[in-house]
Amino acid sequence: MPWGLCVVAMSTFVQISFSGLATGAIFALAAVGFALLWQTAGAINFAHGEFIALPAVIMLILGEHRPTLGMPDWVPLIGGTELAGPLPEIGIVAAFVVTIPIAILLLGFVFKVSLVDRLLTPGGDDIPLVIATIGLGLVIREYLRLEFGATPQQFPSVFGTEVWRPGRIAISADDVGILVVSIAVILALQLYLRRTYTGWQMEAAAQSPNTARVLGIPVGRMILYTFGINALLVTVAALLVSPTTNARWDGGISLGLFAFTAAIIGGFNQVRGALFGGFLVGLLQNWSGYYLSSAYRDAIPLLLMILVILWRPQGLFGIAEERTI
Amino acid sequence: MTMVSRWPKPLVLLAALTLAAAACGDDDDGATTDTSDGATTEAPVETTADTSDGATTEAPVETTADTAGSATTEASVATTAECPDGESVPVAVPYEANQPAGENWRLGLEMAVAEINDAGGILGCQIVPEFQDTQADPDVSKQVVADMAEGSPYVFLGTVFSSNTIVNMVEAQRAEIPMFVGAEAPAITNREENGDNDFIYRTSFGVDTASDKFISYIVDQGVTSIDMIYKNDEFGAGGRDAYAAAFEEVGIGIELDIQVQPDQIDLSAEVAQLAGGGADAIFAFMTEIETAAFLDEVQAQALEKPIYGGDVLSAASTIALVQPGAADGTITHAGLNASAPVFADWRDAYAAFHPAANPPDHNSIKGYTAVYIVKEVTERIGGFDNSQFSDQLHCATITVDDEPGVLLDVTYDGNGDIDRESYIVGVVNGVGEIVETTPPLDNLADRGC
Repeated sequence: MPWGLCVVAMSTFVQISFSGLATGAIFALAAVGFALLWQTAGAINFAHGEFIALPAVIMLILGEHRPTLGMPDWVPLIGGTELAGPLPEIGIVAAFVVTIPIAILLLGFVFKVSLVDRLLTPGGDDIPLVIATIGLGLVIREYLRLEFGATPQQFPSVFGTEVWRPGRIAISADDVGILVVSIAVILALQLYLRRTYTGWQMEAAAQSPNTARVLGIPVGRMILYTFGINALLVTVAALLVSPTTNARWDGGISLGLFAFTAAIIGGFNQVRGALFGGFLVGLLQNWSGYYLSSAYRDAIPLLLMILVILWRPQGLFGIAEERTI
Repeated sequence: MTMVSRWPKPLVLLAALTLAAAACGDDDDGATTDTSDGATTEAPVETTADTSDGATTEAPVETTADTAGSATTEASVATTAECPDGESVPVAVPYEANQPAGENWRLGLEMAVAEINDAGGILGCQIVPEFQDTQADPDVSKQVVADMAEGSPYVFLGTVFSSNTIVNMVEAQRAEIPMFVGAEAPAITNREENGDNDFIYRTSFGVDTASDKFISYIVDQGVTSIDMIYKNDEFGAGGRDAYAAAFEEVGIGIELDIQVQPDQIDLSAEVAQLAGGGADAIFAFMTEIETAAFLDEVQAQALEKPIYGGDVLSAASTIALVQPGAADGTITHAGLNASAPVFADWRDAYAAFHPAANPPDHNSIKGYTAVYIVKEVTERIGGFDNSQFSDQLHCATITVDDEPGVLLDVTYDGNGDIDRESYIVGVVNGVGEIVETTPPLDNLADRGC
């Protein structure tokens, strides 16, 4: 291959790989949430995609788009353009900060207490919770549609629209921002789990709840913390992905599907597995979209998921679990 | 606390029977009817008109109307006729409630219905729309239209998605009920493909008509080769096929032909392909969500090529979704562009009517004008005989002087497609601006007339 063509091919490869990593980082954030809930509580949440769509709408209500969403006047305009001045992205960041406790309350505490604790009993069946979360996802979707309409809402990017061009590659500030923030959040989470006393307690509660109880670890509280962390992760994911997907009532469907796919591929019971799965799915989508056809961009990751289930059910990085019947 | 009726049962029964008998009787008894807003309409005296259920009615000769309606409908209540359903005319509105296009269609339609009803209705009959969500699912939409047809509505107003319309219009045709749609796929009004459907009417250009009008502009820009990117559904593929044929006809070569999946939001691989392509320009044909994602990615990859496309590319509803500046420079043929100066007053009225809604787009205008077209045709017929729509509307023109609510003069061809003036629109600083006005095609002789 001539040198010039080789440079073009490599540039294109780097270009689409970088975009794929940015998308994959969001899948990874969501997939880690899947893995955390499974590890600590044995819960699978099929409303996970909607858990990302909901904070996005909350952020818009609190920030930029209140009039469009037709909210009543008593809803405070936190971070809205009046306060943010000429920098609307400051508004959405402020709205993000306020959304975090709301999400932790709704998607963490309320979700756990009202649904998970009631349906997931020790040694019991997972199916009721699975069905309930599928229903919950449907309820959230339809609520968003009925309350805020079917029209997607533009969501401002925190990182702006600047584009850098090193050589033949175009790298957007948004992609860089997504990648940096996602990796920072995941590293912070790993540090928290590995380097803090509470993190050790959470790990212990996840690995062996009974032993942890004997050691005096408040297992229930640790599980609650996990739900809170999951709520934080989906809120971060909402902030990062919504400028691309827009805030939409049905925006969580494909996101939830591919986060789940990523968690299965990487390993549902390992955070690092889910992390790897997220990046891999993002890359596979872009590579297959470019080198094969867009028609295969969703099919290839799903095909890989089927192969993983067939040949390595615990996932590429997962640990085989046995269950006594 | 329990409310106990003191009315003896026989008396109640008698009253109920009387009311039922009154409801079943003829209305052409010279009674004066109060409309909901207090408008008073003197009843018809003579002339005949067939109503939709086949009854013959004495048609109106002398009518007075004291309406409180808008200026656009000041002269609209010229006559009265027997209403299909008591004092009202039921219309069926199957629409995609879960999609921006469907929602905007409904919002525009609701505004027109309110205006017309405030001004006394159509021929003195209040319009009563029945809205049903098709969930943007072709199978569901077919069932919804079939179910609604059982209620014998006067007309169908919807659907907007081509993939839905192409399936559900068969049910309206079977029930012989006129259907006004916002869908743009060419097959919808192609008599070879739609089973010689006499009951289907568009509210905007079909893609094939639009391509005929847009192609000469693209040629004038010196484009000799083009990359196409389209949504892989009835709308996108239909648009792609129509434009591909038009490009071929004028000698513009198609280099890349890229499809995008419905609801796909990461288009980095596709835009990278376009960036590596050697064509002079790009032609995009997708709906709002995919178009917005495409434009954002074009901005992210700093792709600098002229981008042309269908209505949606530069629609207000798309511009509202993209990151600042992402839609700038795009150029489209807009059959109905809500940003056009000609719609300025209408936009203000829309904002006043729907203060919490997004700015209107072409689908809002389609929904709005659909109701006024039905009103005008009904008044031309002189009664609610929907079997006469084909005779009255095919190969006919409705001007703004005839009915201000149509907003632009419109001519229907022999297939239910339309012809009218339209616009080439470019986006500058996030606002659609008219670059050129394209005249009507004026080729009705080639289009079934």
